[in-house]
Amino acid sequence: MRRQFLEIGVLALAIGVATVWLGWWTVPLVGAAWGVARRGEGYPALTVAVSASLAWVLLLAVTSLQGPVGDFATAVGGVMGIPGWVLIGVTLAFPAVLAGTAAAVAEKLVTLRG
Amino acid sequence: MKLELRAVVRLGVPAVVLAGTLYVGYVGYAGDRPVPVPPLGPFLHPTTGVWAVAAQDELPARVALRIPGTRDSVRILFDDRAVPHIFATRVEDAYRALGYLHARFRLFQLEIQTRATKGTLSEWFGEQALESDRSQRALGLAWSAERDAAALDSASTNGRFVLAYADGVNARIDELTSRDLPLEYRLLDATPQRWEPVNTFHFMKRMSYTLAYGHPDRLFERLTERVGAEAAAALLPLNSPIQEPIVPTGRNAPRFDAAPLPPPRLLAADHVATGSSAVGVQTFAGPPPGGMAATQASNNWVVAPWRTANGHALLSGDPHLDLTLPAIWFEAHLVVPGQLDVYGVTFPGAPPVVIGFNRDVAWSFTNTGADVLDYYEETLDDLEHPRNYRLDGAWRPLERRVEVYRDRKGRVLAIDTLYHTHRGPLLFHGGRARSMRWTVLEEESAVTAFLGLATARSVDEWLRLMQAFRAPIQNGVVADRAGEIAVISAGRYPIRPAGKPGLEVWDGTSSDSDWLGFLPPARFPFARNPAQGFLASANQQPLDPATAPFYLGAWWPSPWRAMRINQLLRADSAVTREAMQRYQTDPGSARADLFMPAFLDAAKRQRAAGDRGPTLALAARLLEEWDRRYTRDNERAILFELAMDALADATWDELLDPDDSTGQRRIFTPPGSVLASLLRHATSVWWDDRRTETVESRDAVLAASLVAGYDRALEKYGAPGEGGWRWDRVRQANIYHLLGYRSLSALNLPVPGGPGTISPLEGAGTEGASWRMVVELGPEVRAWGTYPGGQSGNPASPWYTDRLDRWIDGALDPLLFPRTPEDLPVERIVATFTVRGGQ
Repeated sequence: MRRQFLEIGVLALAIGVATVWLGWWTVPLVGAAWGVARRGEGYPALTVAVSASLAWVLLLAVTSLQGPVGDFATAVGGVMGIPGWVLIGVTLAFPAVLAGTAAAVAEKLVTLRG
Repeated sequence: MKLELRAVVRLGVPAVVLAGTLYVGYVGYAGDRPVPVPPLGPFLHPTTGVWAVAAQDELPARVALRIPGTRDSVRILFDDRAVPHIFATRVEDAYRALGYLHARFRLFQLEIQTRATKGTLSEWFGEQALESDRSQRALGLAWSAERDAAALDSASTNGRFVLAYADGVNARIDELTSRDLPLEYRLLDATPQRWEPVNTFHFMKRMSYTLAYGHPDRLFERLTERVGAEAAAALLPLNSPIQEPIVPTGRNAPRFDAAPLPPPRLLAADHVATGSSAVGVQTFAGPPPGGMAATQASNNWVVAPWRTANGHALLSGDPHLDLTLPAIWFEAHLVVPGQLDVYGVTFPGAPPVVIGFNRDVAWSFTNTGADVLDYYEETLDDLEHPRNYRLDGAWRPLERRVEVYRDRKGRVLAIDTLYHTHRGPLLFHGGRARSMRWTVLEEESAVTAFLGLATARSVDEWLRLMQAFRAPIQNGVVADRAGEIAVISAGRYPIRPAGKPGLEVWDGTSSDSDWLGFLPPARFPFARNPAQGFLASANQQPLDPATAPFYLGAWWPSPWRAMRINQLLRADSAVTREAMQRYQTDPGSARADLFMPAFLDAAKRQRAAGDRGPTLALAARLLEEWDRRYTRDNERAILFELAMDALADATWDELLDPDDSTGQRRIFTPPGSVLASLLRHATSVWWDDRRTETVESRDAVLAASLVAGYDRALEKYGAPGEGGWRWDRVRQANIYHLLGYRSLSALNLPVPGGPGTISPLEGAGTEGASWRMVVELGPEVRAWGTYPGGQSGNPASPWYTDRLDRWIDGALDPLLFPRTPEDLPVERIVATFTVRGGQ
């Protein structure tokens, strides 16, 4: 359990750094790499999905320290026809889906080839 | 087999979800949405995506900037209203810094305004914006702006200022990172275009389009077909039936010209032309049918020192325009010792301070709404593919220009060929070709004039500079520290052949139809230091035709605001700056003063004549309780307004649109001043509602309208006294975001004022005082002002709507006007930007 938390923490850090330094597209790459590295062990897709979401939660938290993210979410959500909390939810689900599905696909492909 | 299927599912499902997520991450989703969902990857990025907009710090305490072209360093101190005080040693550097600030605070606004005039909105919005783009380009505004830019002398003083301004805008665009991109660009998945100097001219053309595009010919034709030429001319009078002109006449009250309205000569509905079919290379919708020009409802007035409490001249200005977020104005103060020290409001997109003050002079403008546009029926060699037009018995070649409209992917949406005669652009409508001459399309002068006004040292000098102003014609009031006051309606007034008004469509085959020239400045409507001690303009007819019978325009708005301003100023022989501020949002109404007694008197006479209906007595009693003020908590103004609506419905039944299946829509509603004039003729045939068997009189119509107004109020807002009739519950101001997004707008704002008040609140409440200013011209100039919204265009910024509450209340902020950076109180400075010199 402790190891899992540690893994999630390290992965979140890696995804966070990669997102900031390289871009959002690194999220599925990290997910795929994790899926390959941990194939056959537990739930790598779930682990990396949670990590990706956590990474973006932390980054969004940093952003919210510099501006009114909550009110702003309501305003931008209004433009897109959705409540603000849905926009925040989509923001956090997006990296999770990218990382998790990339891990699952990579894991399965490597397994099938093996 | 089972195992293989499971494996396929285990691989296939996540693969499909991954592919779909990557697709919307990279490409976004268009579907049938008017605005596509942008690529979600960059959009949702928590530090550089849309969320970064919430974290953008527009005013960090200290910033060092690099603006190419800046020779000497510039200091920009922002006060606690986010107003930049730009201290430079060269004027060019000051305007360069202003360009940078406009882009820093309003970049999206700069671009969308330019695109609107250039007709390139379809590059963002696709087919949705195509018709708007086509009509804009057909008017020739972009073509004209390009000619002005090409004629710009880059070595001239003003040419250098326009170029320096563009440098400043581009400096901001060049330094933009993904974190800095304004929200709207992210929503539209667009990137800012570089700013070209021609964009300043595009913007000025846009303003002219807003203020000076109007021509009554099509409406006049329809009215003539409906009620006959004589009645049409009376419903759309050349001169306002109520005269309270800008140039004082020496009278102490308005002059009423209550000539009887000629009776209508109604034609059968099937004889009325619809004018809706169009052939030709492009269609022409024509100017808005509501008036000579969209005049909005601006006010300005000046009071001479001998009529003020402290002996200093006072000036008030509140230009009314479409209210938007961000606001149309950006407040700024530019100081270049010995050369420039001007404070006021600027248009993001252009360098000059348009309305404001310097150390000696203050000024403000209202729109004149003069007739500066004529149409000419042209004869072409080929209506579909013309090459020549007929003039004085010979064919003359048309100038051609091909316009290509593209969508965001560069795909061609449409191609138009535009044609120009020597008069202007050729427009096609209903199988006819008309060319248009419009002063707005001719050589631009507003930027030059406004830049010059900033340095005027006296009323004399200011008036001299205004003589060069061309379009859109403006009523400028001015005051100086010496106590001089003046008003001038300046610009290019066409002189038409044989002194005719410009209401007809001219014969294009003869050069005898062409304008003979322009009114010389000596004949501009003008007044200076009048005996009454004040001057006021509120878009009303500038000159009383009884004393100055020459044509400047037609369809002047009812002068209710001018009447009220003059009434207040006449009654106040010791005007204070607080009173000036109070008058700007005065809830009193000259219109109500005129019509309310008419309703009450008619009700009294009808009841005396035997009308015992209980509703009439009740409605009259309720209306009698009204103080004729549109205050927010007023519970009777709505009754009056609904009665006025019913009065228009009952009176103007002759003007119902035969093409309207609902039977409710009129082709035109004559101005209130015409209706007021009709009140003086109790038995005019216009009072009769031809849809009924009986023949109605004025009093019967007024009384019935009052009852109908009461019934409508009851139906819509409940019984009186239950709170539903409160004015602020039934009428509000609405300030929409530039793209119309409600969640970025400020809606349902409870402001005082109603139709015809000095700060009018009409229709959808989307127009209003875009800037309010009071200036006191004492030994040291002092000023107060505000505008709805805030300095920033960023909806997440504290400066986006920080001024709204005070604007709603009619309050003004004291404006800081330091001579040097050291004069600005340290505790009022929120940020300091330094632009390094030697760039």
